[in-house]
Amino acid sequence: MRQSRTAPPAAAAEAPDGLASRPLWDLVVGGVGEHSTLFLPRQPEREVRFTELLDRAERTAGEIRTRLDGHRPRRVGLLLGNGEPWVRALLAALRLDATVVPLPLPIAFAGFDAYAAHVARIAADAELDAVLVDHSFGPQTADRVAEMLDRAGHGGHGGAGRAGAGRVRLSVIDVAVPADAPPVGWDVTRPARPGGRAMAVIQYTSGSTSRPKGVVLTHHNVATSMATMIERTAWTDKDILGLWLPLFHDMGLFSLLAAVVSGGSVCLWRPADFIRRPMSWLEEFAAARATGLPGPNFCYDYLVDGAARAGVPSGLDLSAWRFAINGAEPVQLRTMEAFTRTFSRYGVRPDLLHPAYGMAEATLMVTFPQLNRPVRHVRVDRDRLGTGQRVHIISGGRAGADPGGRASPASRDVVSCGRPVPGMNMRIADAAGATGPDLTVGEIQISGPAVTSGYLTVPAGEQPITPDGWLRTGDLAFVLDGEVYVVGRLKDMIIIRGQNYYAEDIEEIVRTTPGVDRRTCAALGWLADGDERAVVVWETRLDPAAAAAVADRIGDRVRDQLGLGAVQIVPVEPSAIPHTTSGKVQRTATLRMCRERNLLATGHLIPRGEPATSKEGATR
Amino acid sequence: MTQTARTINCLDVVVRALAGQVGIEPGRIDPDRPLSAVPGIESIHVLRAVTEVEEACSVLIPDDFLFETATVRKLADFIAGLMEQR
Repeated sequence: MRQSRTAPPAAAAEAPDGLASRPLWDLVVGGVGEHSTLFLPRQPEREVRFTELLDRAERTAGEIRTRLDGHRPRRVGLLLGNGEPWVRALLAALRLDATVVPLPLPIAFAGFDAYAAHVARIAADAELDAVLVDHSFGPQTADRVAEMLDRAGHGGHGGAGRAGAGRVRLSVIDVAVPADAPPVGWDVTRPARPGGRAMAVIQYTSGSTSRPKGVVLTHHNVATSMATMIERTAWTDKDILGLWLPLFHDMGLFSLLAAVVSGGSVCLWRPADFIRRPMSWLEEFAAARATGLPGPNFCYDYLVDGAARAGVPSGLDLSAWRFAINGAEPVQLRTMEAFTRTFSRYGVRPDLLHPAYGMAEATLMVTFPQLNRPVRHVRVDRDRLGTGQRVHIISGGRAGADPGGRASPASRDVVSCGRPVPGMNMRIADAAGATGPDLTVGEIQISGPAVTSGYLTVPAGEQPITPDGWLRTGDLAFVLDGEVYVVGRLKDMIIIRGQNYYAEDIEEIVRTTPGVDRRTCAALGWLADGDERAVVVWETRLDPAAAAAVADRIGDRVRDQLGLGAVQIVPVEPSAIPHTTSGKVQRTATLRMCRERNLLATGHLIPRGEPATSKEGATR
Repeated sequence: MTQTARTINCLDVVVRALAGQVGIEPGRIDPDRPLSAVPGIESIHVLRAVTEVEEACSVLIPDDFLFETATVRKLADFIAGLMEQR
């Protein structure tokens, strides 16, 4: 462990094996083994060797260059559904030493226009030269996005920020089918000093309607993180990564890259394959003899629920499954226990699930538990989890021990996410960087060679970096016996199904909704039975019927613009929302007010079995 | 079955699937509002409901339709149309 609390961040250390100084393309070429295979259980092409994919990527890179009149693109957006074209496009971009910018796909049944505007803002912010597309997520939808980007790229909206960049044209290139183009050729395209400090990936955080925030990651950042992930998960070329996460998501992208760099194989699905029929997916996962799976907490709940609804497929054998990572949203003890209980008789080992803490700002992994060891958890006093408070431990803390005693509304079970990974400096501190003794709740601050230098185009003064150079994660945690227990969030962000939604985005939508008569509102995330929920509290003088109608409109707009569907809209009377003397909304106090007045709707997000009785208060 | 009868039947199947996924009474779903306006719905629910409807009606709903801002009734009509084409 290298957890540092007082030392300034180390100057970027070299990654193990000296990987970090080399460009990612070289790492991939050097890593891919003779047997490394991309398995695609739902595609016509069921499997393809990575050696073949590298060859195709050379040709796709050649095609891209031809389309750009022989220029090497500086930054390339990837807008494709999970599949061979996504992986090939990624490799082609790396081959060209272009910076990769994964673009989010539209969310089913959310508004298209708001989505298109979001992608256009990213394209402009990142100054993309080209966007690589296929049509796998819906041919007409892909055409609409391509058309919109094409317009934006011709000096319109997207061209505004790129004056002086030399090129103003954004090219949309369809790479659905492997090209017959000649390979790009080694000679001409390489910049003088590829890799290292050059940008490898700009990873946009999801959910933003306003200003897109692109996390800048260098080849050095990514290579370091890949080496760490491979080491922590003991990944080898015998391993097969199961992956249904969208590849534009940081957890999807960097899990894939780590597997490829290490010479392993990958079995890839589309997210809808998992969501639509979770048990069929699990059967395919088992049949593939996949050994590893990353996913957010909800996906493990979802599998338990799927087993209860549809039954577990007969003969299911999950014994090849070596580890699963539970990250990207708050980890629930209840989920971990239910998962193990449900699937242990099908070969799932008791220590399969690994709660982890990570973020795109650290490339991916910040903390990780020891592989295949019992996970620690503690029961703590719920009211002593504020910043600067010392946690009161009711019970637990030993590996694998049952906390004992009874859970009560006043207590909360918190799962350990393990220790900071090698090379990651971490401290629990306040905004000024001051640290307290163990068990003090504070913000997780990090530094090290895998950590971003900041967000693209965001002015230095607005970067989340402390004066002494640590990245502020905005997440709250305490440390016990060197292990990190994440308990909440300082930043105003709500995470549902691994997607981030910013409170300020939601609040701006509320304020601009026709019929809203006051500006005071608060978007909050809270935990109900382990699930994170979104609630919008807004002040109004309207009578209840009129307020309900406006609440409907707010809900529609939040869904159309952010794709956030399950949100409760709660009208309250003027001055009901607690605020500071300077007029800033007090979120914790607002949530307490809602609890005291019984305004929060409960009930499980994935209804089980019988339709639940409706439990709405002021819900919609 | 006549076209109209089939449409009504489809609407019933769609409404029940959505209500079942979200856990509300079918009566609370307004067929003339967008799918996304079903109380408490998330895209994950719609995908599951669509899967259920596909199985019940033996049709495959193309991905493009998922990105349309459709009403519940429009989805039902669309499925009825697919069934006619079979």
